[in-house]
This record gives sequence, C-alpha cells and structure tokens, in this order.
Amino acid sequence: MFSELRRKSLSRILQLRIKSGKMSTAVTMHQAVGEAALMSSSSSFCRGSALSGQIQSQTMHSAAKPGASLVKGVAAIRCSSFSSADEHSVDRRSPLVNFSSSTRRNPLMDAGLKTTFSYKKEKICATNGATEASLPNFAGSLSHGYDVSEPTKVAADNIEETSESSVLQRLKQGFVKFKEERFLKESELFTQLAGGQSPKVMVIACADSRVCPTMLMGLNPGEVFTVRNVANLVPPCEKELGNNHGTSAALEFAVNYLLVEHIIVIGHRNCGGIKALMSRKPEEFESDFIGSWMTCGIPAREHTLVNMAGKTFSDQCKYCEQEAVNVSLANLLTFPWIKEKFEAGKLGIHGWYYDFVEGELTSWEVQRPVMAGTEESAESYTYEPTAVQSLRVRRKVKIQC
Amino acid sequence: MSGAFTDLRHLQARIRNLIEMRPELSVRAVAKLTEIAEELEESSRVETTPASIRSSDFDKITDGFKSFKRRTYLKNPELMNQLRTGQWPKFMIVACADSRVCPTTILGLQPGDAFVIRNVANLVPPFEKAGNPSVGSAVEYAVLHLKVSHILVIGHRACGGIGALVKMTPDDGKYSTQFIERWMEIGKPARESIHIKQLRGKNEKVDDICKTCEKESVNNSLANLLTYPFLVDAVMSDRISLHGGYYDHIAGTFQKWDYDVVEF
Repeated sequence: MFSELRRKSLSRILQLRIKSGKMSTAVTMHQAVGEAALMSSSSSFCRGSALSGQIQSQTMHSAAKPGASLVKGVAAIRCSSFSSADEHSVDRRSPLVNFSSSTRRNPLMDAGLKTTFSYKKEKICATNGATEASLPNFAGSLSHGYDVSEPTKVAADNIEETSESSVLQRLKQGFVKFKEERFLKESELFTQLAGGQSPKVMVIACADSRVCPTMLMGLNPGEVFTVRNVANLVPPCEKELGNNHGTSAALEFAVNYLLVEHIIVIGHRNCGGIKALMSRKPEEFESDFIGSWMTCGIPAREHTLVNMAGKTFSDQCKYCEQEAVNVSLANLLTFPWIKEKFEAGKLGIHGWYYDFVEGELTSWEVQRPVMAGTEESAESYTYEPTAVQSLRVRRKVKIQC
Repeated sequence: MSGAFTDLRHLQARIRNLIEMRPELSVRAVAKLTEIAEELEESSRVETTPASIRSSDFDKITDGFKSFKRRTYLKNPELMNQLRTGQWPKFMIVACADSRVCPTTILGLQPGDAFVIRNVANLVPPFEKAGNPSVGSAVEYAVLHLKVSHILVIGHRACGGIGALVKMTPDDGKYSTQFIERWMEIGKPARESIHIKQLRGKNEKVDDICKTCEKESVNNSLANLLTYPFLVDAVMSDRISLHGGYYDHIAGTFQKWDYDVVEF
C-alpha cells in the first residue's frame, strides 16, 4: 500500500516537473514534495534526525522568512567531503583532513545555496490527493524557490556501515591517494592547470569500465580532453537541431576553443554496444535508447555483414568494432570546421583499437587527400566507410610489447 | 664511468659463471635482470620526457600504452583474465570531458571499476528529451544491463561549459556556437536558481556564481536521472543509489553527497 502510494506520488511529481517546462526542475521537485510533506506529515524532520545518528544543527539561511513553508526535497542529501569540510580555508598544501571526523557543513551551503534537503529516511507522507491539492499554489511557491525557514541539520559523515559504503570508501581512499601522491607532489603541474587546460589531444572512447583512455595511455591530468559514450560513436554533423549534440558540442569545444591537434577514436574488443548493433534486427533499433544511439553505427554493420559473411559472430563483432571506428572517423569529417583543419594539416585524425583479450593496441591514421602530381604513399589505401565520406587510411600499426 | 662499466662486466661474469655451473638458476636470473632492465628503462624514460604538457604528446601516449601493459595489464593477470569475459562495474560515473578531471585519476579507479561517460559539463538530459540518446543509452546500459549499484555525477571547478551557461544571455534564442549552447540548455534549471540569486541583488563574483552553478548543475543532472522510469524503479527499491560529487582541482578537494528518493 505504502509503496504504491509513493510510486504514485513520485510519478505525479515527475509529471509536474515535466509540465513546468522551463522552470527549474530541481526547485519544482523539491517544492512539490515539500508541500506534500507539509500537508500530511509535520513530524518527519525529527524522524530523520533520529535515524541519521549524529547530527549537528546549523542555521543555513539567516534571512529566512518566518512562517515560510519548510521545503523538503524529494532528494535527500547526506554530504561527506572527501577532503576538507570547508574548502575555502584549505590551502593547496594543507594536509588531508581525516575522514573519520565529521563533516559539519553542507557543500551546497558553502556555496551559498539556499537549498535544503531532507535527510535520509525522512518520511514525507502524502496521499495522491495532497499532492493534487498543492497544485494551485504551485507556480506561486516557485518564487520562494530555495528559501529555508528552519534551521538545517547536517548529518555526520559515514552514518551507515554497510558493504555499500565500503565500495564508496574505496573511492575516498582513491582520492586520498591521488591527493597525497599526485596533487601535493606535483604542485607545479596542478598550479599550471588551475589557470586552464590546453590539451593537445581529444579522445572519444567507450564508456566501458575496462577501457579508460587515461589508464591505457598513462595520461597526466591536462593532457587529453575525453568524451566517453556507448561504443565510442561520433554521429555525423547534424544540419538542423539534432538529437546527438552531446558529442558534437564536445567536438566543437575541443576543436574550436581548445584547439586540439589530434582526435583519436578508440574502439575496443567485446564492446556491448557493438554486440547490440550486430545482433539486433533492423526493426529493433528504435525500441530503446541503446538502439536509437547505435543507429549511427549501421554503416559499419552493413560492411561487416558483407565482408564477414559466414564468419562466427565474435569475428564479425571484432570486425565491426574496428569498422565502427572508421565510420566515426568519416563522420568527424562531416563537421566543416574539422574537415577544414584536417585538410590544412592542423588536425590529425586517428583510429585506435584496444584488444584487451590479447593485450594489443592497433593504431591507424587518416591521410590527407593527395595533391595532384604528388605520389601516393604505398602505405595508404582508400575506402568508403559511409556513403558520404571516403577515407584514405594509413596502414594499421600494432603497438606491441 | 669506466669504473662503473668494469663493475658491470665483473657482475656479468659472475652471473654467467654461476649459470654455467647451475643452469636451473637461469630462469630466476632472467626474471630479476628483466626487472632491473625495465626499472632502468622506466627511470630513463621519465628523465628524458619533459614534465610539461607540450606537443609530441602523441608519441608519448603510444609509449603510455606500453607502460600500461607492463605495469597494469601484465601485473594483474587475475583481474585481466576475469575482465576478458565481461564487466561488472559497481559504479556509473558521469564526468566532464575536461582534461583535468578524469575520474580514473582522481578517484584511483582500476579497470572494471566504473562505467564512465564523459561529456561537456557532465550533463544528464531529462528523459522527456527521448531523442537525445547519447546519455540515455549509457544510463540504460548501466542500469538495465550492467546493473550498477551507484551512479555518481561529478562536477568540477572552473568548468568551461558552466561558464558558458552562466554567461549565456537568457532566452534570446541567438547562439554564438553551433552546438555548445544548445547542449548547455540542459543545465538551464541550474542557472535559474542562480538567476534568482542575482535578482536578489547580491552582486557576487562570476567565479562564485559559477562555483554554485557547477554544484547546482550536478543536482540538476541527478534530478534528471530520476526522470528515467527504469531508474526510478531501481532507486525506489534501493538497488541503485545516486550521488553527487564536486572536484575542486584548484584547492584539491572532493566533496560527495548522496541524493536519495525519500520514502513516502
């Protein structure tokens, strides 16, 4: 019964958000639940306190309006700082702050945000009707936005000692290690990077947990601008307002503002996205996000089905993984500013393939068009990964060790 | 110098004599000597490679792979064998494409630890923009196929995308970039809250506004994650928890907070 109710309420809230269009989504959500909370449960705050153990009381927003509604978010925030609680007072070379000490301040509060979030397990009870009833005032309440009228309580660090938190603990340890071994020791590098980044290379890699380019290439902070998406795809330049501008925006930023000198697309063995691309029937592509994203790779699939007909599925996938990199390379050249820089010799375009089964990395490079009268390099060959773009590619080089 | 060479020659002779007498020692000797050779190669590489980040980096990253293979790939055969067949990451991380904030570096991730997507300003678009599959596909894959148990969105200080967002003229419909501003539209709700603040007349420095907006944008992305129906189910049934993170690469701090759906 309860879970049914909360599900309904939540979906209601989500609908509200969507309806509110340009309104701040966060505000909308918090406000909606906040009002619901106000209507049906006023004791929830205390309950949250009891559950979360050590709690410190602090006034978050001194200019609170008396009587203004207590805003409770649908989101509960329990903050724990991986480093110092108060970042403003932290000197770059200051020793690490002990994790076991409690964090007394909310990072959002440090930032001067007038937001409040309820704490974990805090009960916000609402029937569907209550949420409904809050609707008329909804728009008006938005003007209060993030105001907080009550003293806000910030929970101490590490309340729960579950196995879950040990996973998170590893990240904390990772950061401590990074700070001790890199950040504090290489202060020259980090001081330089504080002023800005000027990477020379942009990488488009897969989101796969096994193929982080930083790891593969032994990169230092500041060296490579990295986009990671499913199956390291670059969609073609969209002429009108398109769907895929996430990757396009990153390309634009890297090529036109950071002025990178190389773009590398890294494919890899046993890629889940490519497996979906190869195993789905053509009509199954529009059924979900993965399918609709992988449609950019369809030329690679077609090549594979022609060139690798009769081979095993895993061989086909391996071929397609490399072919999909070529499709992305060709798509890069559909962006006019990339094509221009590439042809002027200011931008190198490379394909890489990381095979973690064999522990091998293969690289190849797109060649510039041959000028009339010059001899074609014996190393190069031309082929057409997509209908619109053909590539001249220098032969693959295996980096072996 | 010549003294060092003489010493080396003596050592060489000693080892050779020993192996001639007891050939079974050769395996150990080779292993040890390889280790020494590698170590020496490594240190000479470090000395000859300039520490600064300048060109010729492309060759450097090719060398980087060799070093990865030696240091990580071959040193952890068990993990690598396991990962040959699949991945079971506990985390999905959404981070910025910025070259300074790779989560692998700052959080010390190992291969197989985290499914990572990186885009400009670590944005997650809301579900209703169903036509934006670049992030949606990753969320779907991580939640439904990999079944991660945590999603962490990491914002960072001095983010170029957020800077553009804060400076963007509101709603004039004219863009000076082809794609960047359109993409940053996703972060607008975060800016609105800053906007309210500005209207209240607290003339804060742009840097401070950006800092607030960077954190707020993480919350906006987390809120947007909750618009994916399959994710809502997973969060409600405690199979997935959501977290926000903020990496300040100037001060060297990392803050993390949890983002939970509250029980009704």
